[in-house]
Amino acid sequence: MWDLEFRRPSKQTVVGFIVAWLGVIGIILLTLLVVRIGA
Amino acid sequence: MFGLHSLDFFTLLLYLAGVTFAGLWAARKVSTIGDYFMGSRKFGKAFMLMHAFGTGTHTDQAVSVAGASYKLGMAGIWYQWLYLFTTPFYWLIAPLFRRMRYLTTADFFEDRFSPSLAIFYTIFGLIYVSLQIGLMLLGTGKTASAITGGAVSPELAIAVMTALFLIYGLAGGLPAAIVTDFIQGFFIIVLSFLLVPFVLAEVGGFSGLHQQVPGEMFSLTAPGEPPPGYDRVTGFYIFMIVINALVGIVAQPHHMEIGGAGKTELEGRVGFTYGNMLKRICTLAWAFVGVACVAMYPNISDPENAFGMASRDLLPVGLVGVMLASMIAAVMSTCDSLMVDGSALVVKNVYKRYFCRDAPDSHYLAVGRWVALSVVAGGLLVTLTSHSVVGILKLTWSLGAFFGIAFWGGVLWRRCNARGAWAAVLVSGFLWYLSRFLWHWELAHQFALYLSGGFLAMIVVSLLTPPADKKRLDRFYTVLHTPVGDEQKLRDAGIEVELE
Repeated sequence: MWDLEFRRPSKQTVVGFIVAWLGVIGIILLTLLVVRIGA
Repeated sequence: MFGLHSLDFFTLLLYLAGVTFAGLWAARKVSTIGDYFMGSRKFGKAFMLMHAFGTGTHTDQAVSVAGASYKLGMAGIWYQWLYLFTTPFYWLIAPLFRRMRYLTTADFFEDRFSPSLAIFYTIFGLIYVSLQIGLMLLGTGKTASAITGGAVSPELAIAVMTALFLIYGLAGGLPAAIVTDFIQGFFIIVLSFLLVPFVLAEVGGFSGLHQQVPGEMFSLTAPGEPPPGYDRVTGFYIFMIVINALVGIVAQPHHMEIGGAGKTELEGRVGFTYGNMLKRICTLAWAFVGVACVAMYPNISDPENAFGMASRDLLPVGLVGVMLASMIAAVMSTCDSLMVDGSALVVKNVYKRYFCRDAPDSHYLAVGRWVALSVVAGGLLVTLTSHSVVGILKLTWSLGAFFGIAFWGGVLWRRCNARGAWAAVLVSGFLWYLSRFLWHWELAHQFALYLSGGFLAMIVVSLLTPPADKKRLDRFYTVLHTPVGDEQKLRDAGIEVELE
């Protein structure tokens, strides 16, 4: 109705997107760990 | 020699000779403009990852994050990490570039909208890449000069860096850039982490660091009122930066080849997403060095000198050369790609389109090399002669978002037409001008205004004017929805694409 061109995402798209977010969370946790070492 | 120990000088020389050789080696098989501007779309995941990492990471970022962290503590990391939350979206964006099967982003604006918008985008793209190249060379030249205690002048450092990436970049285009980025990427990782063990040893390890630096410097939260020259980092600020980056990133000229030079969509995805993820990890090391410098140099007048001072004072003979090589690698790996991208815009979207349609590829290659040289020369000239380059560069960042609105409209909304796309670019630009220069709004509020205004203008104007030609739209979306590898379906539908 709105002429939008969305398609159902593939499995590679969904899984890769979730894994990428896990990577981001991992980097933040790593940073929090590093700044606490020796405190 | 040049203020360097002979071992450092030899290390630096070895790097420069090695990377130039690798670039020239990659240039052997370049014979078409598809080879030169898109590397024949033949690169695998490792090369694409290091290419995205190398192109997206440069020395001045390490220097500025270390400087911000010296001033603000670990919260200074956000000056690069503001894009952390956009990184997973690169997984979704990268296949677009590969699947469109274009050589340049201006191809998209011409094919989906109009030649006039493609020309306007080409002008923006040229300004963007020229200024980026000029500013990066200038910043790295100054830092290299600082590390050698002034023995190497910024001008000499700039001349050497420029000469070397021109030698292999002009000969080999994007393949040379990608192959050398693979080597230079490792040097950028060295640049990021080399100082960490030395600063830790200097301040007495992690515990010594915590004893000498106030506890609040280890917080990831920025102070409420930032020092002069730094933005206030709030939740709204981060949110708007992420939105603005997601809109504008598609319009940065080099992202067409960062997403499109891989063998398949997966190569582009892995490269674009994890090349930038690697950069975020390196950012952690830059910020850490900045905080450690608070203990080592309590009173630096210019915080951005912290990284250079620590390099000069702490690194032993031999590693100073490695650090210099890494700094040069970080800037060369970006400049070579941008130079090729600027050349592609002129050759493909101006010269071949309007002046010389049916010449052999060897002719376009020759023109492309001259244009690439001009792009670098223009960037250096403007940078060295203008006092407001930083201001101009910030303008190009926002311009990217103006074009990004039209890009997303063209990709996601069939009803979006050329007039709507023009309205998006012009209205968002006008609102940006008002909010920035007349009303003096904060950055995040500027983003909110021009993005919402631009999208609204695009929708209203598209709906009030006739839709685009149906055949043209069908062709565009058929290509966009046909995965790489299924090109036979396009041929069956009578659609020919460049550089399959």
